[in-house]
Amino acid sequence: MPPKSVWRLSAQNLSRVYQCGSGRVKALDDVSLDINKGEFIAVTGRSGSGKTTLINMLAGLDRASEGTIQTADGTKINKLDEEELARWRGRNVGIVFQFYQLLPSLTVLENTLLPMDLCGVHPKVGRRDHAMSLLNDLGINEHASKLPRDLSGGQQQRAAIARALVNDPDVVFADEPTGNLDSTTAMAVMELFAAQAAKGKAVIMVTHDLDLAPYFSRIITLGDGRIVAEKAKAA
Amino acid sequence: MTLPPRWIKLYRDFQAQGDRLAPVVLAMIFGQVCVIAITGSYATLTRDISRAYTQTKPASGILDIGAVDNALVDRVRAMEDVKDAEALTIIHTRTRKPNGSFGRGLLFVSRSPENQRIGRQQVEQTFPVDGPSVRLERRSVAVAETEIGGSVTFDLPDIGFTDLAVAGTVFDPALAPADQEQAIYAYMDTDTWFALGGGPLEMLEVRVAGDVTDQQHVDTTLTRVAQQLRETGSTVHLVRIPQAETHPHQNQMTTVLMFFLGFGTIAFLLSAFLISVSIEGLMVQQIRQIGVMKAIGARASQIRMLYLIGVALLGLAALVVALPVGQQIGALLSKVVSSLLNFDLTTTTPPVSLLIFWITTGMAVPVLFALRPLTRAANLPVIAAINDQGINAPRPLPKFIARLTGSGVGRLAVDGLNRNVARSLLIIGLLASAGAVTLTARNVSASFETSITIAAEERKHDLDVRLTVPVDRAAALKIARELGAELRDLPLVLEAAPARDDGLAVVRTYPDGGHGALTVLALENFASLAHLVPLVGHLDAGPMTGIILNQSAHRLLGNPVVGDEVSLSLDGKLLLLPLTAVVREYMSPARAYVAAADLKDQVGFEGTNSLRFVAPGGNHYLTDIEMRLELLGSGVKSTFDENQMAEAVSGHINIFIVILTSLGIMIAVVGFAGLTAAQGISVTERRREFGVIRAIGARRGQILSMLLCEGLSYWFVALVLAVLLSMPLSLLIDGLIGRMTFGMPLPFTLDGLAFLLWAGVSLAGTLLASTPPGIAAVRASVTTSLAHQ
Repeated sequence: MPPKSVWRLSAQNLSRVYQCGSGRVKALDDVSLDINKGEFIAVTGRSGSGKTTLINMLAGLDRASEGTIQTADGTKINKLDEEELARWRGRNVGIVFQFYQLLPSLTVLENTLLPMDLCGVHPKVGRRDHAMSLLNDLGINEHASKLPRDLSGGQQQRAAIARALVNDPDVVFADEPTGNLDSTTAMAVMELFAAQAAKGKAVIMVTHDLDLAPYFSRIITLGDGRIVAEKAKAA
Repeated sequence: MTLPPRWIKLYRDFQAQGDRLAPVVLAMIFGQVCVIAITGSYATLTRDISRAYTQTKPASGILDIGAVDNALVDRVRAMEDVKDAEALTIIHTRTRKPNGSFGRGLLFVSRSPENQRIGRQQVEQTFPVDGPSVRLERRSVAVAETEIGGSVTFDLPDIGFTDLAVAGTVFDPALAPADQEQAIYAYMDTDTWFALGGGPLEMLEVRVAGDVTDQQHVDTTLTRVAQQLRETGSTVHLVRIPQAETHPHQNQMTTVLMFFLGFGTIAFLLSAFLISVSIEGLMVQQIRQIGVMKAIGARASQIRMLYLIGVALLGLAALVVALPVGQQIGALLSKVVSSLLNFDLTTTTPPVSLLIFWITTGMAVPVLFALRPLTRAANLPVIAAINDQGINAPRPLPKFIARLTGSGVGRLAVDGLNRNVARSLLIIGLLASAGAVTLTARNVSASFETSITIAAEERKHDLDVRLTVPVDRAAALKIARELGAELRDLPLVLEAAPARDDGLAVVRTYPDGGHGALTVLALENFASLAHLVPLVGHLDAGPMTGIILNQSAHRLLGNPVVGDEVSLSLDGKLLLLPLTAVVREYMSPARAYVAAADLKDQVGFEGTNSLRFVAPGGNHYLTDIEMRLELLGSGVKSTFDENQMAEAVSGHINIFIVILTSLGIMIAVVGFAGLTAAQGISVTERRREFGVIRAIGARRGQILSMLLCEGLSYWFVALVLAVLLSMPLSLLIDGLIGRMTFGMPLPFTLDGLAFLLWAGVSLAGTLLASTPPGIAAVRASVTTSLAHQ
């Protein structure tokens, strides 16, 4: 089992080609970037610009056609086999989806406990307390025993964030996590992510919403699969 | 202690999908019940039929000597390789039932039937009676239409009809069941026999020493004993050697059990495939969630294990139901078969090894068959799994079908079938198999009925009266003339055996004289055979020459070709004639037809001992016949009418028909359960699609019609396939049963009524299986359907 890496993610010359009915489509074309602890990065761009493809590869959900993704300890993510990659994701990465993707048959608490159960990161005895503490931090502890269908969109997204954070990952990837939320709830979610970044985690978020720009430490804009602009917040 | 969340998820998912899992579990239960019932009864029956027969210490052979005294018995006991010997007489005679009708009787006379050293019977019931008495084999009581303490009337040679009190019953597992053979088996001691005026015992039962199961050793020893007896002045008329230590119906039972195993395996495999397809359907709904679990760190192996254990638990749940049910059915099956073949079961408790086999297969087989769909779902790349839309688009239809079905409900229904071709094929396969087996059972039954009809038509006589002593043919004709009765034939019927170099007549028959017997019928001319269908050679209209064999005799004598010399031994005398033809005779034991003149020339026997009357219900002649025969110094030995013949043969064949029909029903249940499961899964997969169709204007009735249309498409294709499959299957089983029973296939017959019945039943089953999922599909609102994940 690979050891938990010291966090820094470095992507070099990433490309992703899909084979479609109409031929080859290059979704990502020679993208290189580094992600460091405490960064809150936005990935923006038009539909089809390669945003989701990029974070899927950085999160180890998809494999690059070319290029490498490497952690600070030298682990080459794209060289891991499926089982090792799953372990790496479970221990190092938190993922938040646009449609929350909570498991419908599990309660909020059980959804939160699931990554610990799958990855065995925390001792069994303390898992429940740890999850409840996280839910408390996110303000949804009173909904712990509810099923996702009984929650609002914002509450579901908080539960999804709790699930993403429960294994204490170094980086959180979020694919348009506010896309389905009203503006007030969206702001609350952004505050949560910002707080995680402030705690030293890297947060990479795909978004279309430029109103959220003040939250980000860096904004990467993609166009036709390439980085067309990269803007860091002034220190 | 709380369950880890992934197990909670599995539990709740299974709970939520109860309606779709129920048919899967039902399929597992049926598959397991099939295996448990069939293997359980197989183990019980094969163990106990052999045990029941061998514990009677059956005779390795019976020598027909004519007169056996104690000194001869002692001499044989002292011979090499002889374990034991006992004297007995087996009298084939007729019985008179309380209603005056006649039946077939076998009277076994021995020194002390209760204390036999060979061919032991088990005394079951005893009743104190006065006067001459017999014990009846337990299954003969009903055939004799009497009761314990009552009486039976046997026509004893040189004594006449004698009322014998029924002093009790014995169980003789060495004999074929009395009701199957339509015979009354009775046991009498020599004291009673001699007191009645009976002559000396005529036969010698011999049990060989050494390996009694070694047929060659048994044959060699018994023929050596017979030779030695001849050398010391005894006349050995016939040596009867049955199959070594094998019950007369053991082969019949083995064939039945092979049918069981064959069809049970088919039912089990079909249910296992159904599990595979159903699990695949269930996994379709889990794929996105599997993608999410993998995204948050679950390994494919963890997911695979999670669901495999889930399936194993479903298998276990099915086993909890199937084990007692299967065992009960197996025990029932064993009891039915053992009762049909007249032997008792020691226990129906399965051996531990079998129990382990059931538990292992009950859990492992579903897991094995679920492995492929589970592995496929678990190994799907994360992104593909998360973006999964639930169903694949149907494959493009061939142009002519697309044109034929148009773009309405019919087209959507055909698309539905085409969406998961493997599943559709499986359901069609299940229903077609069920139909094929059921139709085959009915076709075989119809073939059997046809063979009885053909046999009755070709027999050309209604009543066969066998005489105790042959009489002159002219005298027999005179009797018939005086009675105004029409005589079809007057053959001389003799028991024969294939001739051997040593001059002995050895036949492979059981003590009841049946099961392997060969008879020679000497006829004045072959005109009475003209209606028979020749299978080999031809029947000349001219004077009789040579020997004509029916198919059973042809096989028994080693399939000689036309022109070959056939040599038979009749009471130690050789009859040698060229084979003229082989004729077809349904429902008939092995028979050889020769000219009366040839028989007289070569062997010296003449006259007739079999009066074959054309007289439906002709038993009313019998009293007059008897009176006239008495004047000729003869009597009636036995009578055999059409009903007795049909009942005797039915007893052998009905068991196959019942089993095939039951298997058809069993597979049909699995098929309809499969159809319900498949339709349920199909509806779930397409719920969003239904929402879209309804959103653009389709009415609920149209969706329901579409689903019913899908079910009907399954039904139609399966029905056509069932008919097509049932034909070769019927031919195969007609051949198997026919060859086993009388040496040639049953005449292939299609049962049209069975087709209509099956079409109706399967249509009703299809509609019943398709309606609940259809109603479930249209009950949900459009928005719910559209939001379905």
